[in-house]
Amino acid sequence: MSERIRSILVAVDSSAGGLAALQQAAELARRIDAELSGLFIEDEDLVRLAGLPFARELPAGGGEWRPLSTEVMERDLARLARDLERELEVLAGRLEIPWRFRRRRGRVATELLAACSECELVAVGTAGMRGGPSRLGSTARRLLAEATSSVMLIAPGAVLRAASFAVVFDAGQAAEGALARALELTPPDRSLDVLIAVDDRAAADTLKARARELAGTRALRFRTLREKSGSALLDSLADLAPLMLVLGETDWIEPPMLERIVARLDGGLLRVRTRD
Amino acid sequence: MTDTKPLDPEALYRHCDLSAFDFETTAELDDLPELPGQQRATDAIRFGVGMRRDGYNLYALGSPGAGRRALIDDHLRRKAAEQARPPDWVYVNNFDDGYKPLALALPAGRGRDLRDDMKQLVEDLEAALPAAFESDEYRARRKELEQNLEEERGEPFEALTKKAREQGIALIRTARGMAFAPMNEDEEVIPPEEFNKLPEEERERVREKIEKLQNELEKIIQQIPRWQREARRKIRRLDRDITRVAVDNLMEDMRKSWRDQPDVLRYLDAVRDDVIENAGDFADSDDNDGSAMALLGLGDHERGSLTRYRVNLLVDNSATEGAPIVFENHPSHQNLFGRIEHMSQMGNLFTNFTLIKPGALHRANGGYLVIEARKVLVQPFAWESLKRTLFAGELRVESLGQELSLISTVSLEPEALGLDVKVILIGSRLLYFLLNEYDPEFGQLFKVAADFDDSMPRDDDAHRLYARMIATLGRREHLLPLDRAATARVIEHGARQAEDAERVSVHLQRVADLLREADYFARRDDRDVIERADVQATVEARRYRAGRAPERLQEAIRRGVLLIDTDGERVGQINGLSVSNAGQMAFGHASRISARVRLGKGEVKDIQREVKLAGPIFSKAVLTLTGYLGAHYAPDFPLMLGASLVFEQTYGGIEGDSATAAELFALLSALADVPLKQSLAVTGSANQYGEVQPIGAVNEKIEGFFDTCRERGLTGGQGVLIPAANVKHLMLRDDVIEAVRDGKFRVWPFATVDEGLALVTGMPAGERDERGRFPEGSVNDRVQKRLLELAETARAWSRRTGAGRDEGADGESDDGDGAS
Repeated sequence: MSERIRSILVAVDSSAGGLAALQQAAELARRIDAELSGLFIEDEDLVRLAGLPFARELPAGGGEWRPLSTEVMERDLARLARDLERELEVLAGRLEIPWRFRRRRGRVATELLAACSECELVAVGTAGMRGGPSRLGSTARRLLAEATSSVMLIAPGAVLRAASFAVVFDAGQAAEGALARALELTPPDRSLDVLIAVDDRAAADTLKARARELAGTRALRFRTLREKSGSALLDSLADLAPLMLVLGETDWIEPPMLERIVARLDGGLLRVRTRD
Repeated sequence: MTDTKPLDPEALYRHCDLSAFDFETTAELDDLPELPGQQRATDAIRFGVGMRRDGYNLYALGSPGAGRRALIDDHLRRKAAEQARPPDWVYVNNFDDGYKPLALALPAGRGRDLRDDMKQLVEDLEAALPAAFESDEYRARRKELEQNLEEERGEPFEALTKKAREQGIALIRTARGMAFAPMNEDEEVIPPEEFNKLPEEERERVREKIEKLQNELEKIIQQIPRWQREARRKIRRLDRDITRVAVDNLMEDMRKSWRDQPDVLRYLDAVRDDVIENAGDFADSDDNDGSAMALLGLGDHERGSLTRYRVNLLVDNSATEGAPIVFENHPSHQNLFGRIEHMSQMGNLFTNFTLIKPGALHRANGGYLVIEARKVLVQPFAWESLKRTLFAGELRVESLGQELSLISTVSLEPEALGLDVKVILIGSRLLYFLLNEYDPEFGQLFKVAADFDDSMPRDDDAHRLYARMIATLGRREHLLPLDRAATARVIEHGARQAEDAERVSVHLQRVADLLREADYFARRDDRDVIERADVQATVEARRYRAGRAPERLQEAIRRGVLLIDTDGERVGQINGLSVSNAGQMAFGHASRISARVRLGKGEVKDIQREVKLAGPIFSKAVLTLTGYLGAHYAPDFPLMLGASLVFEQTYGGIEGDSATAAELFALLSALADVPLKQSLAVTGSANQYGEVQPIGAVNEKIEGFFDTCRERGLTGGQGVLIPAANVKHLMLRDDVIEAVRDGKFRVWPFATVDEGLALVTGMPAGERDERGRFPEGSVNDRVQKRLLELAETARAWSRRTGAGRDEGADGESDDGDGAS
């Protein structure tokens, strides 16, 4: 059984997805009485970009190209860090949660992966900073693949306060860890949806019994996937309410399918890592 | 002397014949369905009400309190009960032009249904639409749509990212936008110092690559607004689909229930389209209804107000029985034609179609509108607007401010309603004649005149009808019944009010007032039935209440302040009679008239006329008198008379010709030097032939002089001369009749000036013989001789002062020889 989440590390940036992730992570921290740790990573690539002789940027809303310089970039990053810290301070003050703010310089994914050791849960927005408006950013992808802690990908526009949680429960220790995290994050007065993923229908009952055993007095609602596959999981999401899907370490969902699943979720995805 | 006899007491009052009454009290009598004596008016009303053609509106003319309103009300109620209920009218939003609300006519009672249906629909939509947009189906479809859109939008970026990466270039999102930078093998941006170490050609190549990529990015970014528009369009289409299903579902029953009303169906179609277009307004409408902002209406799409779906029930005939009858007591412009109210919000005035308020014409549409002519005429612009509306046959709600262009702010222009109304004006005769004379449109719009009579002839049948009217009024007012004598007294009082013993007043209000007051006296004395004494007490109490002015006047006479003689004889002086109004009561009193004569130019000057205290009829009478004088006494010689006449001690205006005879007697007395009896008073008009014509208020005049004489003590020689034609008007007080019966007072009728002259002088007036001469010594002889003397004097004076000059005959001469 995993320990309870004491600290949530959230990657803060100025994008809409990043601010939404901060907001939701703060709400979650309040719910589970955890510390919120904001990490602002000054992207090394941006600093380098600004130093290049022909560096210029095109505003997102269109318009004229604007020249970039190291001075301007440094100033912008410093101001952004101040703004984000202030944002975190106000938010944490309002929600009355402990908080801290750190600023690092480096590559985003690398720094985040490095920070995984300092917390039980890393929260990031699903949209990436690099490239176009693709469904899953490269940072999120790397976190899903390499993070040593649990990772929460928060969808843009997610409202975790209103979202229900559902956990994928297949045979194995990772699934039990995921169930434990899902129970931890679900408010006690709400039931948790348990998606039984098993190829053998007869084994489903066994899994349900195990889940009930682990949940104790908590209310569970079961739904059995037609098969233990990513596509069956994707199909089962269609008629579920706004959802944060909790998923342990699995080997039966390929990364592209996982991306499609994440794209379908209103709330986001919590990938649970169980540490030995 | 004269053969003229004073009137018998019986001629002074015409009693009701009690034997004609076959009842003990009026409680036994049936109600009278129609007012007696108003047959002409009744027929006119019946015709006017039944005539459903343009312009056949009614004008009920007569004196106030004549029962016009009651009779009209009675007829209208009977007629309206036979007619169908007119439709309800509602104003609804015009979804094509919010400034021009639409008017819908609905079967009576269904306006309320439409209002409630729409209210319910909005409530249902408020619940159903958010639910539809929160449904799993909608969310799934929207998410899928958004994902598709995102993928469509993302593809060019991903392709560009891939293309860049293949060239060793990274597309990086900065805090404000996007930029390109060269990458190393680890897919990190090359540090500037390393980049700067690259050979010039390499750096230039990278720069060129990036420039090309930037151009491509620029093109992609330029597509974003189009993508966004497309995305919004697709999402909007989805929203419409979802809304359409919900709305159609909710409106299905409603459309069925209104399938017989094409206008309503068209309106519902417009509502459906508007809801589909603006479904978002229902998302958070909790605080819209009832708030001031929600009531603003115009352009309320932006504010998400649902006011535009309301129904303004302008005319609700759900509880109306038959055609409506509306009595509008304050026919101001807005009370007649309705108004558009405004609400103040942040210092600005706003309005919408729910703030259109109906006027009396809206409520009366399909029925009858009764208004007082004077009231509508004194209200600014009400009359002109009423005529215009009746001509147009349609009713528009328009504020005066708009109509007069005083307000130029944008306001509503509600659709006009079809108008089918019969307007009944109640007014005076004078107003009717003035309108006919001066307003050419009046005759086109008010073609039916219901002329209410003030009195009706008296006979036994009429008395019986009148008794039934008394019974009807008494029952309606919950009054005690009247016994036969009391009924007779009421009728007799009615005759007195009609100023005619042969007619009786049909002035409903006055009769009702008399009955109410008599009821008061009867109840005060614990009687179950109103008796004659109660009616008499009522009449006397009224006289007493109104008696301050006449009493003060009699007191002034008694104390010698006002100089009136009631005995003895005086030359050139006579008691005339005049009547004054003190509120609702008129009273008569004597006025001394004096005359002086002298040599002159044939003019009789009336002092009142000279100082412009006389009215035109009075002036006419004086000129008539001059005509009589010349023709009767000086047909063949010049009338070289200068006479002056005056109403002594009068300080206000005088009007009327009832003093003509008295003035003539004073003048003749002065000319003939024959004294006149001061114990007599004279009233009567005269023409140029010496015939005496009737006058008004004969009863009050006799009673006025009687009161003066009684104050001084009745001698038996006192009396009043009245025109013979006025005898049939006599309904005198009991005390006057009693005095006449006792020989203490007399009333003489006279038909000619000569008859009157003989009475006031005590001498024969004298008639011309076959040679055209008056009897020697008669009053007329003495007058003629004096006039001849004056003519001779004038001729002599003319000779003395030179031919062709006539200064000697000038009325302005100081010569006082001619004065008597």
